[in-house]
Amino acid sequence: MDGPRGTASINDMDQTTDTENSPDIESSTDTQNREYWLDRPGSTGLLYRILLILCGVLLMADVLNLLHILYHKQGHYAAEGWFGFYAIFGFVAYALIVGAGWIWRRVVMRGEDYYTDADA
Amino acid sequence: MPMLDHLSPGLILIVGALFVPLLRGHLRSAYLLALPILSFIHLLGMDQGSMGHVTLFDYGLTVARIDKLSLVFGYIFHIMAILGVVYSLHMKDAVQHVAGLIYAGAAIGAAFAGDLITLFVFWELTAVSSVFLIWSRRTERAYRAGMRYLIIQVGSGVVLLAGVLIHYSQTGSIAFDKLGPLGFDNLGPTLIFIAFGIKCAFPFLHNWLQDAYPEATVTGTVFLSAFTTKLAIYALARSFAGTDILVPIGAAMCVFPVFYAVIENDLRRVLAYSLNNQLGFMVVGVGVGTEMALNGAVSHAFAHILYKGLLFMSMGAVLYRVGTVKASELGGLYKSMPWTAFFCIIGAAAISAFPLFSGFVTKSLTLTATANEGWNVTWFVLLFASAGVLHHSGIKIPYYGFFGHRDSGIRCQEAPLNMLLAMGVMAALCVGIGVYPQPLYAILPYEIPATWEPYTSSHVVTQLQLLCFALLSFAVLARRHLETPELPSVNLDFDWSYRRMLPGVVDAIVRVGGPIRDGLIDFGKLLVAVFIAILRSFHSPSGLLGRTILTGRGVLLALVLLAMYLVFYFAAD
Repeated sequence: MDGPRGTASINDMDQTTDTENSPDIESSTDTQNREYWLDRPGSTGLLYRILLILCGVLLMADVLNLLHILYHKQGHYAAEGWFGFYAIFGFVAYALIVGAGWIWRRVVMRGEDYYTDADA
Repeated sequence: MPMLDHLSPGLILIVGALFVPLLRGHLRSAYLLALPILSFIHLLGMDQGSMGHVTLFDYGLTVARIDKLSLVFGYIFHIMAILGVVYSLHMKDAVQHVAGLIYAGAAIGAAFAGDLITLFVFWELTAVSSVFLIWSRRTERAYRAGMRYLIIQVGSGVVLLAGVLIHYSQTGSIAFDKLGPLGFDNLGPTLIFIAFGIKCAFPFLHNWLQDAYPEATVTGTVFLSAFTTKLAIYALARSFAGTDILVPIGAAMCVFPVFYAVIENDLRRVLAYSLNNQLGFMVVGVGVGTEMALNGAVSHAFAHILYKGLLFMSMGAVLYRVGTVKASELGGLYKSMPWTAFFCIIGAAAISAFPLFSGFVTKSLTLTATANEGWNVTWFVLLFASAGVLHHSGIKIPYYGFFGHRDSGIRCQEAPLNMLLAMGVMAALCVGIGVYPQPLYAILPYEIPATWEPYTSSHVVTQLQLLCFALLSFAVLARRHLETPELPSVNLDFDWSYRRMLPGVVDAIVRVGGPIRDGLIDFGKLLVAVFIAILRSFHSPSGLLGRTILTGRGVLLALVLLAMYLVFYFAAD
């Protein structure tokens, strides 16, 4: 049984198809029919909850730091000592990068064949 | 091997590579593997110091300068050459094998060059040999990208040579040592700096990297990712350590590729932007210039070659099996290529600097040195860039490469065994360095202070907070479908200036200038025509001066003149 994507459709994408080999897409019934844990509904939700718990635990370290028990945060800058500095920095920086991506796309994104008609 | 001590350490690979096409099958595979291993053993047996003094014309060359700084790069270049060969063993194309080995040998030769002329020779050899790794893709697209790459790389060599000659005429020295300061009154070192900057992909000089690397072959990109740019880092560390301007340059390199990596669809191009961003950390380290910062830059280069090579290998395996690495066409590939996905995730964790991985124990040296020297804004920029690394290399590559929002339905074989073996060793090294960094610390150019310990509770916790909350940010955005979607696209970068703008300007000049030129030519033609007409009126057969006069008329004229003469003669008498 062929997968939704047969060899033919792959070969059509000749722009990135490597010439040194013909992509050998095979239809293994083994991987076709096997059920994967990640495909089950609820799996990603579980991973999300685990990540939330992990983040909660990591934030607890800053609470310990405030209470001066067990954990003492060392840093070069005063800002590093603020409660949750690294956590908030990481979260916001990531969101900013993705947000900037949306804006930047409006400026620089062109069609896939933008250069092809001229020089490639 | 006392005889070989006077030769460049890169020569075994360069000369040995020439015999590869003569061999076939398993014999060739064994020979391919033996070359870099033999070269590595030879290097390990060499004593430190300057060797291989050769006099060429009036220049005293030093082809083998072995010291701690050059050795670190020599080691990692050899490790990469060996693993690169393992990764490409399945391939029958002799051109790529030869080009890859000569390229690696040239990079090694350049790293051990003790003078600027030797450096120049190997510098150009890396350019000329590596372009075949792009052309071997054998598509029109790769041919053109390779051509642009070659022009820029050879151009870098020409700028280097000009700088070396000016420097020599001013100082009489061709030593490949600390140069500077920069400035118009010190043109030699400044030109050399620019040449290094081109190979190091400084902002606005960077686009050859993102243009060419994703167009190279499966195995070619793995080789390319290791040598050229890290050779430039080595050259900067050798000649321009502590040059202040490098700090803002490096900081800019850390940040701007992040915004391109976010929106790029071709995952090998995402890795090329990521490579540029990583170079930024190293350039900052070289610019800060203290012993700790240089150790940071060099160890980062060492670890980076491994995890970046691993990431390019995993994407190369996808390209090899599926025929594309466009995020918009992939998804669910972990089902077919679980081992490749696993190794890719290890590379992603290493580049993101998770504790127990190589990025963690190397990048922290640079960050700490940057803060210690009071580069406060730069430190925050680097911290921001660290979140950026997690985005494009830590999450985007493994997620879009092997998981994705949906299953694309592509089912293929797992990567060939030799590829898996190379990736496995790379992954083991990424974890090994992270867990036990002391051997790497021991070979760094300067001594690591005894007080330095990467695994303090504070450092581990803060780094985990940064990374896990960035991951959480990803999860929150992805669940709300706010991630930038994978779209087939081209994103304009600085290469637009020479791929579109310059040809456009030339085109405009031709379009506006063409009629003007034609008008001028027409006017000139008119002037010539008028001149010819005037000449014609006098000198044509019927013209005043060109007419033929009959003999009878001539005799008559002579007679009249004679008669007039007689009349005047007698009258005067």
